[in-house]
Amino acid sequence: VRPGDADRRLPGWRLRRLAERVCSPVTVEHLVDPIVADLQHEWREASERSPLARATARVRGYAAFTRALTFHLVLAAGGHLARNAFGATPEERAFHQRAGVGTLGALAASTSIVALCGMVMMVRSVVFAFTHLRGPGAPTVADVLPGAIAIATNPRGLLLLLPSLIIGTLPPSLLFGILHGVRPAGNTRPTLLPPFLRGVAGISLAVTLLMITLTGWVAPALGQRYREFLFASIVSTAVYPGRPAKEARELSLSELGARADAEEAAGRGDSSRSYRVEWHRRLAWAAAAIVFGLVGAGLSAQRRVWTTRQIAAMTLAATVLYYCALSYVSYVSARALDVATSSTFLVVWSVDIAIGLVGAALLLRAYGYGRSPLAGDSPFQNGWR
Amino acid sequence: MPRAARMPTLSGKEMVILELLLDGHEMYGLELVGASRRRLKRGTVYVTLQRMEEKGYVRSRTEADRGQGGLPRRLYQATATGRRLFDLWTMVRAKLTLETA
Repeated sequence: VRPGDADRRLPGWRLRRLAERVCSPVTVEHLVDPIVADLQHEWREASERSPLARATARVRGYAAFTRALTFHLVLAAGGHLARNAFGATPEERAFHQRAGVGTLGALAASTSIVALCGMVMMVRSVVFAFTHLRGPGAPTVADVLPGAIAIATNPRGLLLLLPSLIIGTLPPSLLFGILHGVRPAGNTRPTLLPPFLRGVAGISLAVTLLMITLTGWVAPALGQRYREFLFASIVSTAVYPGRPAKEARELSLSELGARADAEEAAGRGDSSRSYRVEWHRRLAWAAAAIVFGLVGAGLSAQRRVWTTRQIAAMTLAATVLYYCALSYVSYVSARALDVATSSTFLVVWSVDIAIGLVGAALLLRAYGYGRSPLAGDSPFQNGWR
Repeated sequence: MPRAARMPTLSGKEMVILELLLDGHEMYGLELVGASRRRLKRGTVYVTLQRMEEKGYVRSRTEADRGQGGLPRRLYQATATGRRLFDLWTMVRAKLTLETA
């Protein structure tokens, strides 16, 4: 529909042309055209009254157009995401299935290994604490070992620790899952990418949101309950009533922010900085899911097929490198640097930024600089509008 | 396995629109907003009408050209499905209200 000469003075034609660019013909016909028609009718009626009425009609029409289009786009995008959560094509769905199985398998294996190591360390700590009690009749290792094992392997305690363990193992498991997902079983040639790139982005984003929830609120709350459980198991609460006070790791994200502000207001800069570092460290670790996703996409895009052993070795190497670097910069930021001369944000997030850049460079190298891996795969061509 | 047929649903706004269109005459969006006594908003009425048309509760046509220029308005009318669903929903709501009262 194009305006005739007599219609050109009516408002709304530009809005309609704009809508034609971003909306499907059905949406233009059933949503945009009626709104523009209302605007033009109101404007024509208002023209006979006063210039102010005409301007008011125009503003009200434009506002209705904006609201309707926003509402429609939000609903349409939400519907599209819900319909295609596991991929819009058979290839994408197969990728999600392989990546999901790979991620969950790696998560189960790595969490079990970390839990086992944690139990051994816990037994060691409890035995050390009791055998170093002073005074006559201090217990021997043989005396306290059964009790220490019972505490370390208590199912309730392990359940309380599970979110903290998952936080540590989920991003590396995701890297393993992505590398495993991109490689179809028995395939001898690399298969990538644009169809999988959106899947990698989706799964990384979903894991990041889950990580923020776990690291921000769930793990600190359950971690504090674990400390109370330990306290009650080791110390006689009849003799020492009370609960262990929360430390930085047992504070939720919102509590950490409030505590940092309070310390800063009280003039305790060092203490405030350590809370801020913990706040950024948790979010940086949650964002590691995106960073590892990017590295996974970059490694997948290389012109070779990785074996399962190579995938496991690369995952382990990336995890060790990332975790050591993050721990180091967190320590440096909290203890060594002056807050006035360094940004806590920049220092703590430098590891995410650096490793993310490596992933992006790998991806660009595979595709050639200046050529977008998303070319020809615009969401605008997939009917979500 | 084939998917089970979905239960037709009616949102509050859809109820209002069907109520206004019940007597069978056609109305355009802005007219519906005016008649709804602020229960419908100008910015969302056409999105709701579009969804209702997709679900088969209303049908629409563009009005005849009056020679005034500009785009023709779109007129909406309730379908038999829409009217039946409205009656059913009203009955269910009345029963539920009686039971919980």
